Amino acid sequence: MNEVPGNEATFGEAPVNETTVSQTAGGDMLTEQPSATYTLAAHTITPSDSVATSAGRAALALLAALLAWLVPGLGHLLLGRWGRGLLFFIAVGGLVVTGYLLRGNVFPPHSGDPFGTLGFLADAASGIFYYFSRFFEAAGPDVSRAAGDYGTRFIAAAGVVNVLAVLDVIEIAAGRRS
Amino acid sequence: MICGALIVINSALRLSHLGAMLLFALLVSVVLACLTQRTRSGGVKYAVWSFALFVLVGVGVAWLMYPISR
Repeated sequence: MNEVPGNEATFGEAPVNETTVSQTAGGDMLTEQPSATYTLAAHTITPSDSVATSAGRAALALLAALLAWLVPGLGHLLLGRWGRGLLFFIAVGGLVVTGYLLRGNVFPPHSGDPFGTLGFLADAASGIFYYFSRFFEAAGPDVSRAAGDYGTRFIAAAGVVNVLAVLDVIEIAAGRRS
Repeated sequence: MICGALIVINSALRLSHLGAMLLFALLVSVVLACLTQRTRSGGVKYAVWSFALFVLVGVGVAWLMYPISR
């Protein structure tokens, strides 16, 4: 490993290692792995370190996304974003529970038609709340009234909001969002 | 106890159509503000603006559709 003089970085400014691509006489493309070593104030980052870091970030993003889908707000809690986590839990929970109490329709997994499948995907996106529907809607849905129809929209909107929360968690875990 | 609490919530939640729309607008506006704005002041402004637009457009559409319901 070669030291690169004058290339000292501070934390938060991890350098991007450049990958060199060269072409042989036969036309084959050769990819050279970066060989530079960057020295930080208290730690030396090697190319293998940065690969491990990116793999760790990807694993963290995946875990956080899974938790965020399962329990709205839990992914943000895992990343230390307590305020956002609480907000998403209240928002998704508020929408979905209101939808259940208005006796909105909850789409089953095997409805048999494309709109039913889309409805199921939207409903199931609210994670664990989807499985509370039988508990909250003991009397079943009633879409013969306008309120029941509103409830259906509330439940689907809760799922869509949770999808946005999952995407937000992935962005934060990947370091693309401050 | 949980069932009792749910019955109380359910009876308290006899939302009118306007009440349901206001609740929906409030929750969705706050979430959108949180997702799109980076500063607290920007988030509050966005949430208020989004909430107002939800309510105005909702009432406007309801007013336009009123003759159809008669």
